[in-house]
Amino acid sequence: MITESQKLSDVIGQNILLLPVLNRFDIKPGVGEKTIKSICIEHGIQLKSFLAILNTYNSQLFFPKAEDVDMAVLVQFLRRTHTYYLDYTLPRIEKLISQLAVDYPGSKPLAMIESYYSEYKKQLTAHIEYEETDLFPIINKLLGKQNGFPEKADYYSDKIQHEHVNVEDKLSDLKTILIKFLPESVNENASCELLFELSRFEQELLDHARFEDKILIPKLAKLLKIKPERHG
Amino acid sequence: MVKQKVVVAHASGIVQKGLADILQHTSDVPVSHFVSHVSEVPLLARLKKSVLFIDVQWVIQQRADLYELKRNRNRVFLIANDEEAWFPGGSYEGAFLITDDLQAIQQKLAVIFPQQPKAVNGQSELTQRETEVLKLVARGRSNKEIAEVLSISLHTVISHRKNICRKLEIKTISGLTLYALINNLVS
Repeated sequence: MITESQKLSDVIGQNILLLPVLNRFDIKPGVGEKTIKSICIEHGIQLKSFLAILNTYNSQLFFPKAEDVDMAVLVQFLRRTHTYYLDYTLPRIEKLISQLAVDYPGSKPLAMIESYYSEYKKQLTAHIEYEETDLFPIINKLLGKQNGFPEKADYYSDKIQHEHVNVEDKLSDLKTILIKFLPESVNENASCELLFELSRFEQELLDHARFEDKILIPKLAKLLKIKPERHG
Repeated sequence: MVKQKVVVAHASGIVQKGLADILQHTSDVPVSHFVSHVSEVPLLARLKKSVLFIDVQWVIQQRADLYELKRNRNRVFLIANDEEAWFPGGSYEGAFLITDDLQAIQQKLAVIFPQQPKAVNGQSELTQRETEVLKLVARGRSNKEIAEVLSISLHTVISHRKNICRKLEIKTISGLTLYALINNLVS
């Protein structure tokens, strides 16, 4: 488990996939010899929430406790994550797919894969937009007022959980299909790059969903003054 | 099919992780919730249609009524250190011993979550009937429509679909459609 007294450089060295997560806190390489605690102080980051988020991404065996993560920190983190998906990951995968198609013009399977992905991208973007424009503002409002909207509770929690599962499954289906049916003649380095990126994104989405399902939703349920165990 | 929740209530991280791992690999069932502290036991009575694996000591300590835990059509299984600790009163469907070996646990799970074994190499090809179902799924037909077109029961359609997803390792309708398109099953 990652602890406050560890040097951040060691943590990054052991799991390089944490870099994009750290970027969302405006932490970039060039971290020197500083410990996690001192970096958090320097950046004005809440230590407990930071550790819970980092540990969740670092190991699937780590189960974040809702009380360890501050709701406002989490919402901001999720927003930064969304921006990362929209501005970087989604276009990058799209580019990698279209590069394959360039190498192998007129390929029907690749055209189908392109259109599947573009449909997927549209769906994930819509989901993110829903959270950004509907859900997060409500949470922020609730955090400010501490007043409940009990009648909307089921609507929000049901909707989020349902959509998430599907978003991850569609991406993992794409990966499975690419592994099985990519035309042999596509450039092997290009297909490697695409599959690496897809796998990484698949894992990211699972971690992302863990936050939303295990922390955001139970906390939201609490704010809405309904019983969290209905959503566990 | 409504996905049933699986809850593991035990203080030991080794038991939690171990059981979750075996459940995933043997029965393809993910654990939806872990309960790590005995004080949360009373909350478990609010579960509905769930499968609960719980430390027998917790049941005894909390004087939890197993009938109460089972009230909302939950299925309750005990986790015990030794055979003597198995009988806290009330009824439960089965018990797991900490000393059970992997095979014993798998045999018990196979009864709790009966299902066909996972596809292994060579057994993953779709049957002719499954291919017909897949084509209709890819054309956007509903289960009910597929049942009518093929003159089979809805139940059979659902079972075909489950087998298709298992064999192809594809979970979503869009994924199945892409599979069918790429393999020229539909145009």
